[in-house]
Amino acid sequence: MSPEPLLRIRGLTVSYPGAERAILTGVDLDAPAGATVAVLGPSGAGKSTLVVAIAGLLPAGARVGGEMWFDGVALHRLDEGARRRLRGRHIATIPQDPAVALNPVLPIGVQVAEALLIHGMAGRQQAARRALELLRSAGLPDPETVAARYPHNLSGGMRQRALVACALAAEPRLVLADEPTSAVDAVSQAGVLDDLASVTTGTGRTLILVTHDIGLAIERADWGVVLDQGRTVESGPIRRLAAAAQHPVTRALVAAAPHSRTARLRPRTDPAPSGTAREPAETGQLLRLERVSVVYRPTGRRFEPVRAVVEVDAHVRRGETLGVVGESGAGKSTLAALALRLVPPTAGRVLFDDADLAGLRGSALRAFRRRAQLVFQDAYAALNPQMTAGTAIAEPLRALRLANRAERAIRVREAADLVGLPASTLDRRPRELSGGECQRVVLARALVLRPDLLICDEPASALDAAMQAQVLQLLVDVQAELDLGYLFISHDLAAVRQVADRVLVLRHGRVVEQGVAADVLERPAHAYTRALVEATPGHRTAPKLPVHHVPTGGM
Amino acid sequence: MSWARSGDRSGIRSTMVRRRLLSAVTVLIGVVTVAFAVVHLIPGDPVQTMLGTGGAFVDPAQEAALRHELRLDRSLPDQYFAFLASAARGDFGTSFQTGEPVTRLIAEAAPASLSLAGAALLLGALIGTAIAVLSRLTDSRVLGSVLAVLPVLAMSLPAYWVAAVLLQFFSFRLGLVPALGGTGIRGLILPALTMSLPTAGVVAQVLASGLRAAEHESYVLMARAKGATRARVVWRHMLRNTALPAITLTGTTVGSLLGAAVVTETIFGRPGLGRLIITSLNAHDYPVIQGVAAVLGATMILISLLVDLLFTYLDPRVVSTAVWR
Repeated sequence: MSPEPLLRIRGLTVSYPGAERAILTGVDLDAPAGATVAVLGPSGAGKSTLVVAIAGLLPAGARVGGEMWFDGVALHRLDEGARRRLRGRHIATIPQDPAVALNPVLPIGVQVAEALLIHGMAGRQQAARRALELLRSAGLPDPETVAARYPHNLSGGMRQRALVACALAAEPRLVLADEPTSAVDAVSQAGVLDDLASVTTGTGRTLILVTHDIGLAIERADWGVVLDQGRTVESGPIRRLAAAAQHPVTRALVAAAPHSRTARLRPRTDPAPSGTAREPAETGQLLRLERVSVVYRPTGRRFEPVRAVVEVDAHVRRGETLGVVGESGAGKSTLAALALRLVPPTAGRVLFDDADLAGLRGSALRAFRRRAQLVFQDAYAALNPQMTAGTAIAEPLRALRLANRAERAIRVREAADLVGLPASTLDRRPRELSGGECQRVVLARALVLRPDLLICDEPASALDAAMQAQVLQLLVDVQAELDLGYLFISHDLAAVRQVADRVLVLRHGRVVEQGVAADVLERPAHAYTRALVEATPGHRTAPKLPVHHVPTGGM
Repeated sequence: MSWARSGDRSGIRSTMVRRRLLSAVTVLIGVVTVAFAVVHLIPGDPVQTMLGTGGAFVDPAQEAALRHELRLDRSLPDQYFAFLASAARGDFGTSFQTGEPVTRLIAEAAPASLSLAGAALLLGALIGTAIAVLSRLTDSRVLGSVLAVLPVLAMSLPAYWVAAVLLQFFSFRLGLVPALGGTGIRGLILPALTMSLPTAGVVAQVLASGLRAAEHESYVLMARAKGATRARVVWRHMLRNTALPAITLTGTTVGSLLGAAVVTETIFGRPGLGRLIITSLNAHDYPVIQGVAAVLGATMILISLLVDLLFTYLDPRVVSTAVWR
């Protein structure tokens, strides 16, 4: 290892008085100057707390032990004032969620220039000029326009680049990036990481990259540190770490990496008894879109109409999954809204069981509302914080007056069993549940109505790799058991590959390519699909990893 | 899924003003109608009040003549529509007591009241903001708990008591400001301070709880990660994000401020709308009461429009939102 690392952490512990267990129980980490160090681990391992601790931003009341040395300075002995003068100047942070990390009421340029003003490194005008350069080098081609805009005017990828510019303003020596791309689509993700790499490598800058995706780490990092339950369990050069993983946690990470997930998942449950199984050929189209277009016309004369979806043809059969992929803004969510009759088509028709959705009224509409259900991306946000899981699952039954109290209880139990929710979780509220459990509640709430069609809008994107695998497996199992049609929307190609039978690629609201999933994703005919596939982490270097046989669930 | 789009802000503002002015007409008609109904429902008769002092003999012919002159002998619907028609032209009639045009009476009384309410509003917003910001910045536990109690105190102290204490201390003991009927800035200080306290309390509480919640926002963490000081984080990042609900509430307190003006103007012996209302109510001076009600209604409409316009400057996300169902 290099002589003296820029950052050296030994036995770092973080705990809160009164908390059951410590968040960090013994983290060791060395970050050599100029290197990129990946901090890996499942959710709850303490990765984010580690980043916050290095930055010195732990909430008041946190008890910190162990040693942190930054360029020979003992961080653990500095007072708040000295830590503050390091922050943003020498130790910068790129936070996880770009949607909320920028101040909504300040223009982007002001926020980028801020670190320079805080540390007295430039005057107002000079800082504003420098902000434009920073935005440009962070990969935003039109910095003058971007600088004058507000966060809500920018796409997720642009916001993340703006945050990179914010963090790098004062030319810090250490950059802490906490899952910097988990909230953006694959194409933007590759771009953001490229831009991040270009502003760190060759500048002698050290990057600590937190991720749960080991494929991404192999591509981007030199060193890897694996955390589990608050302590370092394994560390070393990243490729060696991935190729010869010692610790079970590291092996699980390798197994869950997107590039090792290439095959369509098979249901774990037995297929339906042959007597009730249907011939695929005789099953009609559950959902059909016929040359559908949606144009949004914002109020106010000077707004341009937005063509969200343009002449899309698509269909979903019973028991099959249509995967919809595309960058953010491609029209994926509008497609979901169309299928649920939340948005009327400007042109074309949407048919459910051969009935035009536009013509549904009264009881026919209520029947449709029962048969088509939505599974949300952010399960936690989709649950009422005041309702227990059981009440949330029962709610659609109450809303559609489909069952009396006793029947409701039975059907809630059935739905919970179907998604593998133990009875004990039904009395809990969302904040007492894990991300995976919340997603199961949302799924159970959709299934309790015994629907025919599920619209899944990024159902697993907010979860870490291991939970993601569980939820996807669950979706496949439930589909086989209930013969459901899925419209599965995702920017995560690996996830689509695992669940979809057919794939539809959207770009700027138009269908670019459509066909059998394996064909489209393995041999893309269109250049745009190729770009999407190549942007998937782990695709470019495609390292040969030993396949560890880690089961994804009960057998 | 959100379809909110941002864009041209001056367009948004002109649309907002246009829509509001249209609805203002309806609201104003409602206000004057209620005022008309209320003055006629209040027990008591203006003619009796004008002619005699309780129980004295009143000549029926004289009473009838006066009633006819004041047009109080017409049917209620007649009176109502005649009143609406002239009010639409900006004419609220003449005072029963003095015979002066109501508009002139209001024009004479309004400036004193408006400057008092305006000063109270400004003072309240400043004091409230100062309390909220200070409570976020201080490390002292003692100061923190004092600042947490102050807003409740400010809201619950009755105006007549505050006025008496302030007068006792600043006028009689220290002689800094005139006690009664003072004019100009110096005469404005004590009554404005008295009236500002409830507003200050509301602003302080709403802002303080907003700032407390903002502490956990990601953008605050990001600002701290840039090395921003506590003061910078609060002033530059948190305050503007939390100001909106406080501004809305401040706008709604204007109504109660004008109500409080009645009490305050009486205690401090100041001329103004408050005093005008009191004397008119006592005399059952219908035209004046109705006129004042219309003016107050119009003021409230204007204030809420101003608040909404202010929003478009403070929060870039306030735009016309397009929703499809």
